[in-house]
Amino acid sequence: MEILKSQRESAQKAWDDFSDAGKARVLVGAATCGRAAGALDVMEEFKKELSAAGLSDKVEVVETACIGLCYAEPLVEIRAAGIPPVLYSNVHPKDVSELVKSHIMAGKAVVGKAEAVMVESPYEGIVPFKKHPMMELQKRIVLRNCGVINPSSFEHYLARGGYKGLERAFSMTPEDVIEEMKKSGLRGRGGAGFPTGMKWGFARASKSDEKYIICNADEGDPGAFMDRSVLEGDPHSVIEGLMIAGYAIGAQHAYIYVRSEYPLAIERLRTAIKQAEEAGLLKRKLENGFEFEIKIKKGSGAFVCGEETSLMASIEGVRAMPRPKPPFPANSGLFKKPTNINNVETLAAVSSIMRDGAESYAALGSEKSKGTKTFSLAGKIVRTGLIEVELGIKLGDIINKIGGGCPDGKKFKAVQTGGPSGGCLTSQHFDLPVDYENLGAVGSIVGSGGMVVMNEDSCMVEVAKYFVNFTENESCGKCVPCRMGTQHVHMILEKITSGKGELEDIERLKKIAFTMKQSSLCGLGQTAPNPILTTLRYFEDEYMAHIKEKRCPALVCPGLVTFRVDAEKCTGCTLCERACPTGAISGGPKKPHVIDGEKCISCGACFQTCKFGAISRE
Amino acid sequence: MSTFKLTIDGKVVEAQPGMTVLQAAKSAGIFIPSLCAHDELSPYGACRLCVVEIDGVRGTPTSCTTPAAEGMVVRTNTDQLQLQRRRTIELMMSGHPSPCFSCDSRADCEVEKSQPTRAGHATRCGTCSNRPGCELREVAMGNFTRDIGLPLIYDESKVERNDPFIDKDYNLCILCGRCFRVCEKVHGKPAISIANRGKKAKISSEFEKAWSAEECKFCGACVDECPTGALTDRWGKWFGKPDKISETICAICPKHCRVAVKIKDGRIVSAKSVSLKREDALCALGRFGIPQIMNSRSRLLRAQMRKEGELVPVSGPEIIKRFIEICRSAEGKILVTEHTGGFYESRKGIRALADRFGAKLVKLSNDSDGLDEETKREIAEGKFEAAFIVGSYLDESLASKIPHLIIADFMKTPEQESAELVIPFSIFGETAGTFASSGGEKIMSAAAVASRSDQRPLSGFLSEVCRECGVDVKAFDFKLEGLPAGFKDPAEDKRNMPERFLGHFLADFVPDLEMLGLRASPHKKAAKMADFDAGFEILEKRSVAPNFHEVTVKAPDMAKFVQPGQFAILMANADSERSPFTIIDWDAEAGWVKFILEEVGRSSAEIGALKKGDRLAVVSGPLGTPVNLDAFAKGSKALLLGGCYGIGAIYPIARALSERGVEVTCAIEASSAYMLYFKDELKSVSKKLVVRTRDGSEGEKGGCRDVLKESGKDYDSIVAIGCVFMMKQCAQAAPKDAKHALCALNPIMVDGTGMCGACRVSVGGETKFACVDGPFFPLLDVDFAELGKRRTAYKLLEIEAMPRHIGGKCHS
Repeated sequence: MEILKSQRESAQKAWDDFSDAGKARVLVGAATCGRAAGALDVMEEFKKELSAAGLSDKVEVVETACIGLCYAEPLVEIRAAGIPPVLYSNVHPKDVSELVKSHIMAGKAVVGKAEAVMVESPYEGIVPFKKHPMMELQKRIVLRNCGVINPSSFEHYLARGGYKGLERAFSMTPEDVIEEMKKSGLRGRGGAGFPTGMKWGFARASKSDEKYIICNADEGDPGAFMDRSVLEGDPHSVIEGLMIAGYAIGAQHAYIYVRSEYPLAIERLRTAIKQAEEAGLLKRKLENGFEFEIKIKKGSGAFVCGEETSLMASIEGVRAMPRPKPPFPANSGLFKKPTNINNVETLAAVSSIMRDGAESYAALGSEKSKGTKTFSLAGKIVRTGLIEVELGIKLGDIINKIGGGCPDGKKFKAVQTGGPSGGCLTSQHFDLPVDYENLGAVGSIVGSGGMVVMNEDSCMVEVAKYFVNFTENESCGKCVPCRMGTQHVHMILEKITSGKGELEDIERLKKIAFTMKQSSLCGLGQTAPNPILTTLRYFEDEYMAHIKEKRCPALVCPGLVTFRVDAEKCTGCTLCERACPTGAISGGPKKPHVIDGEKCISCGACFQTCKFGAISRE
Repeated sequence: MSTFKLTIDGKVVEAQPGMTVLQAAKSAGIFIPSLCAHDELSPYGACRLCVVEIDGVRGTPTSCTTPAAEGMVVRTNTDQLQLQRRRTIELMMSGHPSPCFSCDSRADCEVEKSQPTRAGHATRCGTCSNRPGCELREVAMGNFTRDIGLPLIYDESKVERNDPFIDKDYNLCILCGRCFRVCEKVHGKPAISIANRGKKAKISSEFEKAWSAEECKFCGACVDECPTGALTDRWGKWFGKPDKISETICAICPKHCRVAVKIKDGRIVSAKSVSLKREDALCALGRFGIPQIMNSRSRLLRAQMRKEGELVPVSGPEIIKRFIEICRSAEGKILVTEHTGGFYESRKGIRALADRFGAKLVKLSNDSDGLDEETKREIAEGKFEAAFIVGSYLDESLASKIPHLIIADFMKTPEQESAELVIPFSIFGETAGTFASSGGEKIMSAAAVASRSDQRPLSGFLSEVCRECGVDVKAFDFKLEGLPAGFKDPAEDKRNMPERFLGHFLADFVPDLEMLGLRASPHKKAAKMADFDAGFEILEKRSVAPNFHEVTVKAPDMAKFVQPGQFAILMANADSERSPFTIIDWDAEAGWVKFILEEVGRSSAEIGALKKGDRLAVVSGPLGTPVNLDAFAKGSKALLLGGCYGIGAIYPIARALSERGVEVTCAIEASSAYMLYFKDELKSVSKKLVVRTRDGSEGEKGGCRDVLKESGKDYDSIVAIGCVFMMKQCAQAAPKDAKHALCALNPIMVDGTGMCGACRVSVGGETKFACVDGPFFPLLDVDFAELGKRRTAYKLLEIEAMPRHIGGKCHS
């Protein structure tokens, strides 16, 4: 495109300067995850230290986004002349002084704090980033820029091939663009996995003077943060994807529906949209006659807004409740106009696919699930974070190789995939290729890509209850099976976890789950029983232990666990006595404590507070 | 577009473009159960009952939301669909107070109690005003297995009575969304929607404010479309299913809306719009006011004439004769009023009369603030020898200035006391006649119900008078006016509602209008009771179960004398009904007595609305003969059976018997676990407590009858206290040779001291007075059929009394 030509040149210059490894620079990963870990304090500290050392104008401190190694946040990459760039992890403000003095001033890496070296070969025993256990198996397409560029820089995006996908799309007819998407095999990354090209085709075929394209950024699954990271780390990839989609289906207007709990993502998006407008890409007629505008709509924290018809209702300003389909959004969607909705990750993939061509994307992944998928690893796993892998990778490789298995030598028990709509899988599924077909076959889903790992300390009945409680609270209340079903299954699980379960409750759970799956209006209700059904399928013994033996094998459920003080180990520190909310513990200073079973409510407060392992559960 | 064909259940069905699968099936006579679907409302798909299978479509789509299409192959009734529907209904019923469904005695009980009990809260079908017309019930009955297999979730939401005309009981709501969809359909922008989500989701106005503070126009469409009784017409709800629905015209304002009136036992008990079109929407007066006005206790029923200084009822011909005499004698000095909102025929008659007798004719409309100043001065100056006033436009002082005052009206008024003739007439809905359309065209209004008592159409009366006087009414034909200039439609905005009709303040007959800011007449205001500050202080009050209150009252003089089984008469206000309640506990030293009170009508609701620290006007007792404790031998076994208020009533007996060394077993029943109370209290005064619920939610499924059947013969004595149906069941189940079986009867009572005879009951063929001979009688000898019948003697009055304001505000 003419308008980008001149901009590309200056962009390249800016990027060359930024990516010059020999130029002293401190890059702080300051996406929401990094900030939560204290990245902003670390950044301040760097500025302070550098200024104290008189290096303020020589060493630039830059904010980047999330590179995915959440467990190691705050992450700081330091570049200086004469030494390869090193990524430091778990950086605390108190570490900053040493890093500045050693790495920047003395040109010597601080090996103890180093996570990886950002070159191909090892340096002072530090593993190269690409060989880092969390990175080695990844294939980063959607996350191509996350943590690499300055997300507020339009130039960085442009220099790294940004908007080339759009240029290529413009060189084709909209129909050919749709054909290209079909060829790529890309499927909706929001959860349902519907082929993107086909979806666009429907919206293209719908005749109307006005059409809409919506980016669904209402990411709400517990433990999922893929969309947030992309929006915070590479907002232009989504904007470019939106423009390509808009061109393909013939839309003039776009909405990005993003939850208001993502203030940084919204800020980055606003900046990016403004940059795109200033660059002449938006809100004006382009050389091929295409005119496009993008608006941000903030969601207000209802999970059901992730469902496309609810989302559209929310944009329209009415109560967010799913609408029956048909009519499908492609025919009558937002403001009753043909509408196409894609998820953040899908759109970010679109811009890459259009730039590099469908073939290279389709070459990745498994037979029916092409390309890559991002997953957020959370829970009881050594390396929590955000990853992007080829679909078809073995579940075990994600958990053990990339994630590093469970910490503290605890035994892996389950991984919950796909959020509240997904299911719990076990180590028997470690060889299972992770893709839409295979996860579906074992009762779970890929979903938006959340993976919550649980170890032997997790009670699977309790886990099912947690997810059901979530859907119960997030059910909009419109249809009977979801509104009433979630209440009943929650009550039954509550009954089981409190030791009052009966064998018939299992049948009741299955019966209600059947009704919810079969009869609910939208995906929320239809998939809400999945956590129960999969835990029943793979962990029935745990349910039975609760029901028959009134025992919680993971020693989690209050009422089914007894706490005892080991008089040998007890030092009489009185910590537990003070922590006990019901006054069930007596003993006094320096004397072994005793728990009164009558008063004890099995809350576990004593177990948590004891520093000497003197409290045992059974 | 032309029709097309699809196949439903193997039958080729012709459908119109735009039809849903449900509509296509319906048009072909194929029934698919549904609740949220409504032909005139937008597809919603919430109840999930109308699921079908369609070839080539994934899953089981709802037929109400799926457009029918050429060549579609639909199945509506497979085993899978039946199962899905039944399960969905089970889930739906588990969130609706539905214990009556799983009760074995439901059919019998509903024959016995042909009208639901008028309770404050609908805790089950038996206390739900909507029982006769409940669509949920109808659909569920067709798809229901007796055991819903799920615990009932009853959250005891308070019945909201913070708005005029509409009671909102969200315990019954199934969130079918018809109410706000009909609101949207009629008014464009709905005044209500769903607030909150999941289990907390409920129908609400914005920010849960009172609807009267919102856009709501009180057109009542939401109430009319509610399938469950969650939204009800406070006044009309207890009348049951109407016998028929007729169309007539509302003449309260000049718009003259068509209105569909529901008729029950010859009376208009409710009204609704003739369609859901916006132009047919009614205002609050049209929807809720008409029946209250028509059935007002202030209706003028008798034609009266002054004889020897007294107004006395007289016959029609006598009135006409006197009417003409007066007119003739006062010719030229007569004042006649014409109400522009009246029937065309009446107005012609009035004009003819005025012409014949040279009268001054004053035209009055709804918004006339009485007579004009000039006419008032003329009256005061004694210019008129006689006056024929239609409606209420005179105050008492003006009325007294007219020597021969003739008043025709449809309501009683104070100024009628000064009249020489009082002529009652029937109004729109009761009289056929002609009104003006908004464009001034003549429109005919049919009589939906017959006139009552001496009421007759005013036009008929006038044409008879004219005939007698030789006047040809036809000559007084005139062109009807259309809507007056600047007319503001009350259906568009509730603030446009007229305050008066025929000179009367409408709020006098429709008290809820005051909540919308419409004034009542000053004389009505004055008649309101002053607050009663004497009486008996309520020391404690708590709700023990929905509709059930435990009330502790300071009554030291009474507390000294109470014995187990006695009762007292309570009255909330000095003008309340006298109602008997069993004394369940007392403390002679501390000076209090305690009652269990079940809200089943206006009087008990009045007491139920009182709070700790409030005062009861009357607490009179102890009354009745105490239970004869000597008849229970020490060491013998007694079975005390309690249902509803009886659960509380058996408590003092159980305590007294246990103290005497009798081995007491208490058995209590309730429709569902949430209606049980006093379990701990009863346990503490008996050896054993047996709990039965009709839906099996706590204890074994069943009732006291079953306890008696199983173990009645094991006891030396039996005492049963509860509703008539429960005691009747106990009488049938008790061993026929039971020597000592008692029940405590609860007929209508007035004085409670054996004087009035209202409480007569037949026991063993003898007439007894329950208040002094009872309340305890031999269980096996009571004529329960007669008792049940006598208890419904004041059904209509009780219904009328129900919705009135209690304690200066709506009762809650």
